[in-house]
Amino acid sequence: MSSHNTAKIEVDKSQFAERNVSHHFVDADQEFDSCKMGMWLFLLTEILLFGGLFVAYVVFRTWHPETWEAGAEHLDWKMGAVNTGILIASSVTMALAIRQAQLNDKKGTVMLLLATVLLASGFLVVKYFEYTHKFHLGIFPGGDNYMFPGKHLSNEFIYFSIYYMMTGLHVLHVLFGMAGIIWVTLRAAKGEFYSAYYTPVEMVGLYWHLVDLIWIFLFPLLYLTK
Amino acid sequence: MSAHDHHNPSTHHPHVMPLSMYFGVGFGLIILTVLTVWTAKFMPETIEHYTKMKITPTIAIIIAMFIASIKAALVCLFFMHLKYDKPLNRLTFISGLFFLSLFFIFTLADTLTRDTNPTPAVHSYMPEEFKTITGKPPTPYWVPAWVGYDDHGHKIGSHDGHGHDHGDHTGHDHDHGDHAGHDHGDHEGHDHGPKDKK
Repeated sequence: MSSHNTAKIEVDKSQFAERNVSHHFVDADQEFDSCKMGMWLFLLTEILLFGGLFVAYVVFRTWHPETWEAGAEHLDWKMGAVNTGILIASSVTMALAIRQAQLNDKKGTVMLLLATVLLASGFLVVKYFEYTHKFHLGIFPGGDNYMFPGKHLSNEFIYFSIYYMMTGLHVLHVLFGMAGIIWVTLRAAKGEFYSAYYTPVEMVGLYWHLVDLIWIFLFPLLYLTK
Repeated sequence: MSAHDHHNPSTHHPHVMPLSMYFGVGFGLIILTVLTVWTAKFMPETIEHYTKMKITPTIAIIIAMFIASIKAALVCLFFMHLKYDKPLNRLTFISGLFFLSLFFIFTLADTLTRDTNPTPAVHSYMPEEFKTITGKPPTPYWVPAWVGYDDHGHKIGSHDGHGHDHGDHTGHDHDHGDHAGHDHGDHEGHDHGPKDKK
């Protein structure tokens, strides 16, 4: 394996900027693996961050099951399903962008990364319509701000506080993920990524898949409880 | 960029996976999404129509979480490359799940075993104002919010009248409390009432 890895890689210098391994690493593989392990440790903290909200969800749902049935009535599962499809598609384009970077396909990488950004903004547009619809109805996070005029349970604000916290934190992650993808798109357009060095694309990809992973659980937990 | 680096150029050899893997996993995720929507929205009606069996929310959430776990495993193993990755990264991810499960187990061991309707602890030696607080029956959460509201969310009855009523009621409650604890602090209770109002 190591003898295979030390083989010199020919870089098309008209397209790509050749990159050397940083001083403090033995070789490129060690550099890549260290980056990836650091990223996984960060993703672990992200899982535990969302974990707190998932625990709050389970605690309040087991205490007030009828509130969840009533609250989910105000959510449109079709919008949630569309967003699930969008995020899955964006995960596929992101994973394919990494693959094209591995294959020295600069144009393909940039196009697939742009497609991912486009799908992510599609997710945000659907979320915008969902949020504004709820604000229009008078559904805001927090007990004092719950001004929904129709018939509802007296503690329905608990459901929507958790809904806003979970989806809001997720939307923040979508925004940070988009910023990351735009950053690697610009670098990919400059030809900084090729088969031997695509670490930032891989790391942003891992982050983006985590965003998809969280939504995979949020969708049935929030939209499909009735 | 790093032209003056004395180290070797990057010689990392990527593990390129076939296109079919990406589209296969993406297709699988879409199919499982359709399945989870169907099991949550349409399957209970179909089952009830043919077998008269009801899918309880507990069964529904177990089915939904089972499907979501398969989807999450697909994303982790293939898109996040954990299947082909270093074992240490897999261990990192699994340790996250382990600590998350501890978080769930210890929290739920508390919240699921609490006495949901605690009997208020009122003792004869307690000060009168504490008695009325702890002795107050807890407001049940299942009371629909529209009780006492019209369809536009406004409280039924004028606001000024309500405030006046409220003052009267507290005064009455205070008197009542004094009667209940007649052997203790009868005098004190009467002293406190007017002081609080002024």
